[in-house]
Amino acid sequence: MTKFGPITKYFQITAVVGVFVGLAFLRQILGYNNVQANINNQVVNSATPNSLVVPMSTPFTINNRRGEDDEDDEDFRRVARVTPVVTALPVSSATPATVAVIPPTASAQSGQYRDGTYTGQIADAYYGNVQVQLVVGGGKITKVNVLQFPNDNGTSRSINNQAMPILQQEVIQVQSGNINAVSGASASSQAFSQSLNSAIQQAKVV
Amino acid sequence: MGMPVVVEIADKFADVKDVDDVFEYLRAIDERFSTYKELSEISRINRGEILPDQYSVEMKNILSLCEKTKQETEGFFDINFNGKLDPSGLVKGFAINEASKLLTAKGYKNFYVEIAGDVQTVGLNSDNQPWAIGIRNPFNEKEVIKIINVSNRGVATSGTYIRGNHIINPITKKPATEIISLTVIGPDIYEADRFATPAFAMGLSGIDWLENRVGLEGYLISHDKHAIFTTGFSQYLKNI
Repeated sequence: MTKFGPITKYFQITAVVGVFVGLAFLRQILGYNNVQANINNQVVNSATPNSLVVPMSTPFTINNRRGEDDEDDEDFRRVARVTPVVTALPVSSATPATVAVIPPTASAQSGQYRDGTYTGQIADAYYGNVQVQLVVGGGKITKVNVLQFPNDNGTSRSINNQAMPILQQEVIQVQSGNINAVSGASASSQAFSQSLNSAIQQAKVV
Repeated sequence: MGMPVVVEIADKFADVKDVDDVFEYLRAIDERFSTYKELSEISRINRGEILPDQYSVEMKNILSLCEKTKQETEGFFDINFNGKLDPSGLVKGFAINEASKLLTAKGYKNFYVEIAGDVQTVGLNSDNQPWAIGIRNPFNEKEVIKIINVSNRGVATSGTYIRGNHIINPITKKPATEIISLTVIGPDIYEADRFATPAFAMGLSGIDWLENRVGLEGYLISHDKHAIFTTGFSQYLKNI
C-alpha cells in the first residue's frame, strides 16, 4: 500500500470495493471503457488503479475488514463500509454528502465528458448501497455528490446498535521524530524502561 | 505494581520536592491497590479479611468507579476474575490523573506524568509544542509507529504483546486475541485508561465503540499490521 498522504488533506480509498464502485460508476455513466480523470492533480486510470486519492472534501472511504470466514460469526466477518469520514457530517444523516472533485487539468482533453448531471446506479457496497451523482461542466468533472450511503442500521452489528461509522485504516509504518514519551502495553519495570529508552533514543535519531 | 513512573515538568521552575510528593502519592495508591502486595487492602479483601463495610473510602470510591465503568462498557470492563477483584485496569489511570491534579494544584502548567506507557499530558513541552507521544510498535518494542501530539489529554495503550495474553474478554471468559494493540486518547488519562482495556477486549468492535463515545479517539492495530483509527484521531497528527 502506498504511504498515506497528509492525512488531514486526503483520504485514500484502499479497498478493492471502493475502486470498483467509484470507477465502475464513472465508466458506466461516461460511456468510456478507460476513464482517465485528473483528480487532485493525480491521474487516475480506471484500467489499472489500485488506489484512488481524492480530496479531503470527498468524505467517504471504504474500510474493508477481513476477519474469520465463518459466516456464523456475526461479529467479525468481512465488513465493508462507506460513510462520510468528515466529522462534521453526521454518520447516519440522510443528507447527501458533497464530494468536491478538482476538475481535470489541461492534460485531460477538454470536452472529454458530456456536460450534464448524471446519477449513477445504486451500487452494493457489501453491507449497504452507495449512489453518487456526477456533474460535468465544460467537458470536465466539476462535482460528485453522494446521494446514498449506508448507515449500517440493521446490516452490521455494533456493540450499542448505533450507526457504525467508517474508519480509516492504514498499514503501520515505523515513524521517527522527536518524542517525549512512549505509549505501549504495560510491562515489567526493567523491560519497559529499556524499551522506553531505546524507543526514545531511536526516535531522536532522525 | 513495579511500574516505572516518569514525571517531566517543562515549566521554568520546578521543585524536586513537588515531584517527590507525586511519587509519595503514587506509592500510597500502590500500597492500597496493588494485587502484588500481600498486605495491600485489595489483597486482604481478596483473602476475605476485610468485609465490605470495612473498606476504606478510597477503596469504595474505586470500586464504585469500576462498577460505573462496567455498566458503561456493557460488561466488557469487569474487575471480577476467578473470584478475585483486580481494579488495576482503572487504578493506574486514576492515579496518574490524581498525580497530575496534584502538580496542577502546585502551580505547574506544563508537564506529563507517565506510568508504564499510560500518559497524562498537561500544557506544552519544553519546545512550546504539544507533547509528542509515540505509539510503540507491537511487533518491535524498539520502534514507534505513530507520533501523536497532545496537550491536556490522556493516552493509554492496551496490548497483549508484552506479557502475553493478559486481557480476558469478560463476556466469553477467554483471552482477547483478536487485536494486538489499542491506543486510546481521552480528555484525561483516567478516561483513556479505563476504556482502553474493555475496548481491547471487544476486539475489532472496540474501535467502533470508541468512535461512538464522545471525547475518545482510538488507534487499533490488528495482527496483520493494519491500523484502524477513529475519525477524530487525525487531529492529533502533525500536518506534514
